[in-house]
Amino acid sequence: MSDEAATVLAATGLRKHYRIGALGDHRTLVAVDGVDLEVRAGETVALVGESGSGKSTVARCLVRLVEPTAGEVRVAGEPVRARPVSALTRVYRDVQMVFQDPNSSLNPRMTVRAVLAEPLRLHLGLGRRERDARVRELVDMVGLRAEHLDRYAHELSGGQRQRVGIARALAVRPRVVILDEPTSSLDVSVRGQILDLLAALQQELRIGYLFITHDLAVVRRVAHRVLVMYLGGIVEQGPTAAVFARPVHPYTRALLSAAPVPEWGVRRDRFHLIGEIPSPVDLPDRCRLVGRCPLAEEACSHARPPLVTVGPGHAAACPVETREP
Amino acid sequence: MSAASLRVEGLTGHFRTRRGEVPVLADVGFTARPGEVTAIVGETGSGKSLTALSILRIAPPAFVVDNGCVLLDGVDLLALPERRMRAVRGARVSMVFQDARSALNPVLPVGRQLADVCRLHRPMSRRDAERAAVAALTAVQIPDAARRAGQYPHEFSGGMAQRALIAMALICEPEVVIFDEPTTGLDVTIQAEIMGLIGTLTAGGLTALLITHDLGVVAETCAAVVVMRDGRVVEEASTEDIFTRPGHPYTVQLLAASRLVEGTAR
Repeated sequence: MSDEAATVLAATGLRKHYRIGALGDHRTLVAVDGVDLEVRAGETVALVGESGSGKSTVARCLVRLVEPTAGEVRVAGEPVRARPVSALTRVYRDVQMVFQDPNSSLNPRMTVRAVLAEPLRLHLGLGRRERDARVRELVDMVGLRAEHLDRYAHELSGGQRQRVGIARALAVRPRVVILDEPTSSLDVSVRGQILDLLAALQQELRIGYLFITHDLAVVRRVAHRVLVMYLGGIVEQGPTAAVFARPVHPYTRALLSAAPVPEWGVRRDRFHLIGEIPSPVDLPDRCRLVGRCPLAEEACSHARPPLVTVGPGHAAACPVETREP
Repeated sequence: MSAASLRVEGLTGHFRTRRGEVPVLADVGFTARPGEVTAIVGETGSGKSLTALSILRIAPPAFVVDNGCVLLDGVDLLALPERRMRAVRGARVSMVFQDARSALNPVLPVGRQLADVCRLHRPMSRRDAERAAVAALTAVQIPDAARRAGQYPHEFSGGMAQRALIAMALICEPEVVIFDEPTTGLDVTIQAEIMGLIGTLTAGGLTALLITHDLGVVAETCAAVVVMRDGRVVEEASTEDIFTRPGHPYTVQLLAASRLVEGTAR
C-alpha cells in the first residue's frame, strides 16, 4: 500500500446522540462521540471494541442507515451527509456493507441469483443478459458454483451464506466495503476461508475495508491499521504491528492481555481494569476510563484527553502514558 | 464437595426424523477427572453439545441413545429411573448454559431462582434458601450480592448473568458441572474473568466439563481435551499434548485454523 493511495472513506467529528427517558426527564445517550477515521484504497482498517463501544453505530452512521447527529462523511471524496437520503443511491455504488449474521441479512424468499442481480439492476441498470453474466462472474469470484445460484439462503451453510453476502457487496464494484463482524458467527475453519477470500479480493480489486470486529486474532491477521474504540471514542490508533507490540492506552492493554492465545504454556501478563463498561448515558467530560483505570490521576478528570502521537502513525488518548518524561 | 469422576463410554445415538434414522453420536467415550477442567472441543455439528445434554438426559426427545453409558462414581446415569435422575440433575451434576440471560427466568428475581433450586433438592425454609442464594452469588464474586439477589435478569449485564448462572449450578454443591460455551458472546475481558472463576472453582475439587470451540480458552484453563468431529471422538489427550504433539490430522487442522496460520485455511 503506497502513501499516495486515494482515501476512499473518511469521517471527521462523527457523533451520534440519542435522547432517551420519559417526558420531562430527557437524558442523552452518547453512542458515538467524535470519531475521525480514514480508509485508503487497498487498505484494511480494523475498528475494535467491546459490546457497547459504539463500533456498529459508527458503521451504520457512515452509510446513513442511522442518521448521525454531527460530523462529515466522505465516500470516494463525495460528501455523504449533504445529500437527501433519497439521493444516496450514487454513494452506495462506492460503499457497500457486509453484515454479521448472514441468516438475517439475506432475504429468505430470494434465490442467490435474485439476491445478486438486484443491486445490478438498481445501481447499474444492467439488462437481463448482462446481469446474468455478472452474477456468474460474482459467484465464481467468491468461490461458489453455478449450482448454488438457484438455492435459497436456508439451503446454504453459514460460510456459503457469508460468501453470498460478500458477492452482493462486491456486485456494484464498490471502492470501500464496511464489514460488520463478518466472521463472528462462523466456525474457525470457515473463518479462515472467509478471511483468505477477503484478502484475495482486496489484492485483486484494491478495495478498502473497514473491518469491525472484537476478534483480536482476526485483527492481527487482516488489518494494516487498527482503531480501538471505548464508550463512543477512539482511545488508540496505529499500525497493527505497533499497537499489538506496544499498546499504550490502558484500555488497549486490558483488551489485548485478556485475549486467550491457542498455544501451550503462554503466560499472559494481565492488565486488569475495575468493573465493567458503564452506561453511556450523561457521561461527564473526562477520560471515559476514570473509575476503571488503575493508572488514573487527577489530570484524567479535567477533560477528555486528546489523541497524542506516540510513534509513526500511532496515537493514544491517555495523559498518563503519553506524558513526556 | 466430594470428588467424583465422570466417565462416558461408547455413547451412540441417532435422531428420529421423518426421513428415517440419522446417526449423530458414534461410540463417544472419555473421562473427566476431579479437580480438572476437561474440554470437549469441536465445530458446529460435531456432537459436543448433544453429548453434554445426554449426560444429564436432557437431549431433545427426537434423540435416541442406542448404546453406551454415563458413569458417575460407577453408577450408570442412563440406566437410572427418571425419578432418581431428577435427584442427580442440579444436585450432583449440573449445567451452565451458553446464553445466561435467556437461561434465567425473566419474571423472577435472580435470588429467588437460586433459592428454588436449593429448596428443590434439600428441605429448608425459604429464608435459609434465600440466605444460601446470597452466599452463592457472593462466592462467584458478584458485588453487593444481597441487593443483586432481589433484581431481575434484565438488570444484570451479560457477564453478571453468567456469574449468577454459575452460582445456580453450584448452589447444591455438585460433584460435576458441565459448562456449555459459557463465554460465547461475552467480551474478552469478561470472558477472562469468567474462565478465571471456573479455574478457581475447579481447583477446589470440582469435576468440570467445558464445551467450547475456542482453543485459546482451552490452552489456558483445561487439563485435558477431547476433540470431536462428526459425532466421534477423534482424539483425547492432555492439553499439553494436544497443543504440542497433536495426534490426529483434524486436531492439527483445528489448531491451524484457530491460530489463523497463513495459507492453511484453504
